[in-house]
Amino acid sequence: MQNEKNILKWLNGELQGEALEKFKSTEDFRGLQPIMERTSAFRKPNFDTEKALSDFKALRKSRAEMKIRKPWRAISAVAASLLVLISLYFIWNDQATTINTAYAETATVQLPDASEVIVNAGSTLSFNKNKWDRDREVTLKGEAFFKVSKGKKFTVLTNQGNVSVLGTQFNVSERGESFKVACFTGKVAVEVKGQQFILTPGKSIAVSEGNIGKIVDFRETAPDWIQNKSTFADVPFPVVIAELERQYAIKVEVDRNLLQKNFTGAFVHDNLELALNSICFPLNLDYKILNDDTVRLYAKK
Amino acid sequence: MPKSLDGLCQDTVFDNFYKKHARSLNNFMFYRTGDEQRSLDLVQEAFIKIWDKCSEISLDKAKSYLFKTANNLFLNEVRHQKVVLEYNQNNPFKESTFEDPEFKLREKEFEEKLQSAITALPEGQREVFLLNRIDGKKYREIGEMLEISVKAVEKRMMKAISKLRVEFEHFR
Repeated sequence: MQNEKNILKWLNGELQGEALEKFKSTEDFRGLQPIMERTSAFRKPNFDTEKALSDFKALRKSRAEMKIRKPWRAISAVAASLLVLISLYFIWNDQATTINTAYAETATVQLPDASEVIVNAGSTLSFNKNKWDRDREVTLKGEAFFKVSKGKKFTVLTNQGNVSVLGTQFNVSERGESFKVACFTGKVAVEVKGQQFILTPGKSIAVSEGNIGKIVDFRETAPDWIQNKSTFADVPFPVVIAELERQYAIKVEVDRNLLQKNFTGAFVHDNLELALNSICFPLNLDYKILNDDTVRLYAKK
Repeated sequence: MPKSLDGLCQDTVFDNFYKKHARSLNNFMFYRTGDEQRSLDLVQEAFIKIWDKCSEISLDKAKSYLFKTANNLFLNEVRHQKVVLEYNQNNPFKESTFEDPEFKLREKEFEEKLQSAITALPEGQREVFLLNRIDGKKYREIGEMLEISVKAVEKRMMKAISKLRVEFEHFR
C-alpha cells in the first residue's frame, strides 16, 4: 500500500473534492473499497437505550437493598455453613460400611479390629466403623462366616435373630425363611424370638419357617461353602435351589410339585454338572442346561 | 447523599449521562466481547460503579472514567471468546435480487471470509477498526474512548487494514 495517509484520511471522512476523486482512481481504493463497504454493513448490536436505562435503575435499586441487608446475609451465611458442617459430621459419623456380594461371588472382610468375616454369595453385610469401639455390631442379610477376635461382645443382627459372642468362629445363615447358626470354636449365644440358646463347638441350630429346631452336632471344622461346597440335612428343596442359583449365578426352573421335597446331600461350587448330578440323583430327577444361565429340573420319566 | 460537583448524583443528570454514552459503550464492549449479553452486563456494571462514586466524579471526567471502568471490568473477566459478527437484515449486498447465482455465491464467500478475517484480528486493532467502520467514529473519538493518542489509533487502523488487504489479495 503506497498511500497510507490518504487511506486513513479517506476512512476518517477527511478526503474531499479533487483529492477524493484522485484517490478513487488508485489501486489501493479498488482493493479496499469492497472490504470497507461490507464491514459497514455488519449489524450493530441491538441496544434499546430506554430499556437499558430502566433495567439499570432496577439493578441499582436491588444492589442498594443488598447493601442494607448485608449484615443479615453475613450472619445467615455463617449460620448456614455451621449447619452444613454439623450435619456433615453426623452423616460421616453415621456412615455404615456395606459389603454386597453378587451371585457366584464371596468376599473376605476385615473388620476394624482383627476380626474377619467371609461373606457368602448373594449376601449383604454392613457395620459402622466409627461406632466400632463402642459396639462390635454387624448387620447381616444372607450368609457369612465369622472369625471374631477376643474383646467386647460381638453381635450379628439379622431379621430372624441375633447372635452374640466374645471371641470365636461361627457361621450365620439367614436365607428367606431359614436361619442357621453353627459354632466352630468358642461359645455362641443365639437369640431367636426371645429365647436364648448357647452353642458350643461342633453344635448348630436351625430355624425353619418359624420353627426352632434342636441343637444338633456337625463334624466340619469350617462351613462347607468356604470349602467350596454346600451341604444340606433334610432341607426344603426351594432352599437348595436358591443356594444353587446363588453359587452359580443361574436361574433354575423346577416343576411346582417337586418343591415339596426335602433334600439331604451336598453340591460343589465349581462344577455345575457335578452339582446338578448331586442334587438330581437322590431325588430321582433329571436336568437340562437350557443356556448359559438357565437350567431346568424335572422328574425322571 | 453528598452533593456532587456537577450534580452527577442527581437523577436527571445521571439519566442524561447514561443515555448519551450507553449505546456507544455497549457497541465498544460488543466489538471486544462478541457477546451481546456480556457487553450489556459490562455496561450496566460500569454505570453502577460510576453511580456509587457520583459524588467524587466531575461530569467532564465522567465519560473517560466510565470507559476506563468498563475496560477494567472486561479485563478482569477470565473468559474471552471469539467475536462473531452478523450482517444486517437489510444488508445492501444481499438484497440484490436479479443477480445471477454465481455472483451470489461469490458474495457469500466474500462475506464469510471477511467475518473470519475480522474475528482473527487482535483485539486492539479490531475494536478500532469496527468503531470506525460500523459506528462511524472519528480517530479522535476512538482515542478518547480507549485513552490512547490519535497516532496510536491510526497505527492500529493501518495494521488492521493491511491484514485485511492481504487476506483479499487473491480474491478477485
